[in-house]
Amino acid sequence: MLSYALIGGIMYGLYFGLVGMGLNLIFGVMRIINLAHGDFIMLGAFLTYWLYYLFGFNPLIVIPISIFVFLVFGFLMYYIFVPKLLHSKDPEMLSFILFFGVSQVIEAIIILFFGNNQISVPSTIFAKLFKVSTFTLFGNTFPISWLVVSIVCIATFAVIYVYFFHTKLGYATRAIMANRHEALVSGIDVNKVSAIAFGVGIAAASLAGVMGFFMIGAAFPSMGTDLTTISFTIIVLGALGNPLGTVIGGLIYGVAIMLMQTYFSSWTNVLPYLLLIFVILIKPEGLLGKAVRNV
Amino acid sequence: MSHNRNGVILKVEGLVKKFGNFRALDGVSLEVEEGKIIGLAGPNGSGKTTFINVVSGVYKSNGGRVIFNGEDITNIDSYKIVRKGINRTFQIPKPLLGLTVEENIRVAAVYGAKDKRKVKERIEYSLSTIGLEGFRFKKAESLTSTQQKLLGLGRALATNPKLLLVDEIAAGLTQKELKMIANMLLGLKEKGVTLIVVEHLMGFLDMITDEVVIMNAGKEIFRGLIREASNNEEVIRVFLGG
Repeated sequence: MLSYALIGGIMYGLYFGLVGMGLNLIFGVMRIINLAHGDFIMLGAFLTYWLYYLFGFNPLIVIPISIFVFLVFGFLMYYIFVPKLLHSKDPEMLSFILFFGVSQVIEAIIILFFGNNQISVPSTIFAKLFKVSTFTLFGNTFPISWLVVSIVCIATFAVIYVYFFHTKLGYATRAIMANRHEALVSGIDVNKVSAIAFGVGIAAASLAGVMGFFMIGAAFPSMGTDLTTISFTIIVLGALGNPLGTVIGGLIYGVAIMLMQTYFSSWTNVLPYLLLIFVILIKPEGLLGKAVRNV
Repeated sequence: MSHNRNGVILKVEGLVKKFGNFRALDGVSLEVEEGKIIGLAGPNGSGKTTFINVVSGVYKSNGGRVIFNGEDITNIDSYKIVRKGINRTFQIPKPLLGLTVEENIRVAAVYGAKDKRKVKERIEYSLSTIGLEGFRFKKAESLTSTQQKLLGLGRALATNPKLLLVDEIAAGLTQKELKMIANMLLGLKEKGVTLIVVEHLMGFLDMITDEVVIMNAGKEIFRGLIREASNNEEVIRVFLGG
């Protein structure tokens, strides 16, 4: 039972690392809190649902579509909201209020067009595709969809790692994360690079939505708020402002959730909030601390 | 003065910068000839650093014009100003933490120079000029504050500036370090770089400048040789009070 909880927790954790990745990337680069983060996860789920039911698209095919759509959307959204926010006296506080509004608007629009119902994509979709429904690891059997999601998450983390450490754009992004003014006088078009990072953050959130059906079940318009809270817990657990630290935060969160579900299931829903309060009180910069704050 | 070609590289006309009702720059006009080192001095709050911030595009002005090499660059974005050939250092060093010394310079060499060729040469030139070749793989946060100031200078040099704005680089340095930095800045002048050096330490300015501009309350109150400044009544009043 313990090994099931630990291995399952790691796979869950990889997924939650993806859930928090976009929020932390945007915070790291722009020092603003995107409270609509969970709503972009929800939008990714709705896009997957409709592409599946209208055209029969497998979620694996939806991945590049979702990334493209939300990358462009995030890029444009940056120029609408963020430069004005960053010129204000208190960008962090204003971002809370502004993106809370954006979150409410997104939720209201989805309810208006699609109703306030739960939606889902069959969990057997990958089993049909790969002609195998489960896999076994150290004597424990897991759904094949968990393996697919884990591979997608690892691939995403690898892409983000390469983007940060092995591309010209990544150097510029890290420079902005380290110091916005110094980046400007290094000749970096800070707004353009930030807009791309914002788009990547929103696209990463949507990707978590595409994969969400297979890890957290059905999607519904109001799910964004809970997902934002969970994401916030994860990035605080890892390291605020350090996107790759999010993976560590996700793993801690995933294993903790699985252990709670296994041994104290009735307390599982309280866990994110308890972890959040605990870490904020004990080590507000995140468990990984300052050493890895700058990617 | 060997590179003084008597051409005006920077012309500032009636520059105004307001913070609320406070006029940090109150119609400053200044011309800087190519190849010179101009010192910018004055008491705290006189507008020296604000002047650098506006010329380098970090702050937007509320009036006036900044003309560089004959081109109006007033209120254009910082990164575009850098690519046109103006760079600056910060009074408090702001290195890119988490990146190595070489990466700090590389970012500027890749993004900041108009000519995108010879990136490697510019990195090596910057490292050797600031004397941090041996620290190239060290993280910026592991450097001393003096080394971080040098790194800021190296980062600026990597963008191949024609005009370098140096903000209080001498503060807190030992005599030996002051002499080293003075020689470094004079060496840049010999290579044709024009410098505006904001500084409190008049002795340091005396070592390197062709002329000094003294500011008070957002205005220029004196321009000339530093030894003349010490005999100027208004300068004495501003610095000594009364």
